[in-house]
Amino acid sequence: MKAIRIVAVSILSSGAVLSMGAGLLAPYNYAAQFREHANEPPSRKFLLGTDPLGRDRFSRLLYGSRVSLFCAPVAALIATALSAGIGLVAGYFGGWANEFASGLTDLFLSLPWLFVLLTLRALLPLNLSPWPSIAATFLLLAAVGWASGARIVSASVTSMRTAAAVLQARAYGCSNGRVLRIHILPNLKPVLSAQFWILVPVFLLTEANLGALGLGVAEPMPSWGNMLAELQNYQRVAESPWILAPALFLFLVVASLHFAVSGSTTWE
Amino acid sequence: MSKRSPAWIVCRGIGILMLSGLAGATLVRLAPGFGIEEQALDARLSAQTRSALERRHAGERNPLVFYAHFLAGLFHGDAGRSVVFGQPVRNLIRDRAGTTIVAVGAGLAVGWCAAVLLGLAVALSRNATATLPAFALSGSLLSMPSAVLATVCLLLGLTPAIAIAAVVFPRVFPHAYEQLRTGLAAPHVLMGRAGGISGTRLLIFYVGPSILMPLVALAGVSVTLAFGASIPIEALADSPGIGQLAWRAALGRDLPVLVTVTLLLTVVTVLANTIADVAMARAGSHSS
Repeated sequence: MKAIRIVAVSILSSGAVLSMGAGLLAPYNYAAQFREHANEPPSRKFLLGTDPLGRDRFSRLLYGSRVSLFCAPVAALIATALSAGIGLVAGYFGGWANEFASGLTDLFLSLPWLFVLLTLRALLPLNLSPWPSIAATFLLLAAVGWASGARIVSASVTSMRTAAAVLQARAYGCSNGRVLRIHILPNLKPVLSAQFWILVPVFLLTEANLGALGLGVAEPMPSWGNMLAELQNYQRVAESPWILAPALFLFLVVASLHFAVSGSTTWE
Repeated sequence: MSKRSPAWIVCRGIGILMLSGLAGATLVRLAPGFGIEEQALDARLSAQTRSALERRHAGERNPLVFYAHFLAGLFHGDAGRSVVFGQPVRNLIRDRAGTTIVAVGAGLAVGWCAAVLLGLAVALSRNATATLPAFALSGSLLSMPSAVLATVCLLLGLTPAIAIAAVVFPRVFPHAYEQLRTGLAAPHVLMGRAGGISGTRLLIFYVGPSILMPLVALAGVSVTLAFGASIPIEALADSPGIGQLAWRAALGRDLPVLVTVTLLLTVVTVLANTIADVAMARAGSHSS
């Protein structure tokens, strides 16, 4: 198991290095079009061939990994922060705060995620420029992904509220803010860390699904998701299997994340 | 009303539905172009006629009033008109619901059967050589987006139901295996085995009851998961179901369709979870 973890961490590290070094390693710019070389198979010039617009797939894959590997953790961080905030308030103050947060959490957990994302994405213009589309896609993921974490945080805080250290701090006259910051939040670190690592692969896969449907990150900015939009014409896969390269990279990264984080099982 | 009573669970379900309905109605109300009729763009109309057309929607400017109208319409089966398809949303959903229900139902059945049977086989074998391939398969499927699973199934000539099963299986298998493993090692099961009770009888009467409730809770969640997976799968497989409808509606910013479909699936989710919760609450009250 330790060997598998080492392999997984190595794959993740290589992915991170490749994505950070995209500017140096990619032979071309992700938007550069070689119209006379459209739909070419892999060659020395184009390692993974070219897309229908004549763009180098390998360069786009490297730049795309930068978007996916940077934005999914950021979205997971925002969702974890939301979980922490809502769970802390609900668990610590109890009463109406807890009832309200619990109702809100139940509501979010009952909504069909992908349908909600499609609805919210449809509220935004489809011809968004690349950077706002990246921000919108990952912020939407963070906005709908906090609920399960908030429930776990709330339960943990409720059990910590009566811990000796917390009761003592309150008896000494510590303010609620100080108790939360000094005595409760540090003890939530394992819960929040687990929540974060569960959400990263979930967000990577959801972005891939949204991108494959043409509703993720806007062109010409590449992401693993929008590179998979070519699968809409799935008959091409048999004759040009290299268009599955983003799926292979995604698979390696998500599987490595699962193994690296003790092979925990997650819900999409 | 205690927090775990069936009545509380049902009330919570209704509350969630009302709130999601309000959120959906607000989205439709805030959508760009709401309340603007094509007629109003006709240059031949006088100012009075235009203001009369605007007055027709004046009552709906308030989201709460709009929500009341929206709910009343839904109860009468009127969910509005699709912008993209130019048809009543009700007709669109009626025509496509069957395809999705059959695919999701078959996908859930196949996914669950495969997960429970494989979990049982691995738990009974108690052998690392059997555990490893099973978890490798489950982990591999878990690491692929539904869109890629759909493509693989299409290339292999399999139906969308199998692609949905491939999404459901890896989420159920580890839990089913863990429950079965724990159940088979329970003291009363070991005693039963030592007493000479047959394997089938042990599974049905000793292991089954103890693992049923956790799996029922999981069943509620897997319904939402299967419907969510149906969007990319139906979109890529060109299967004329609700998932494909939602995708086309999203591309065309057709909010009446999207909101109604989302609400409908929220109802399915809440119903599935409520049934699971009530079953668990009843089982809990019987056992205590």
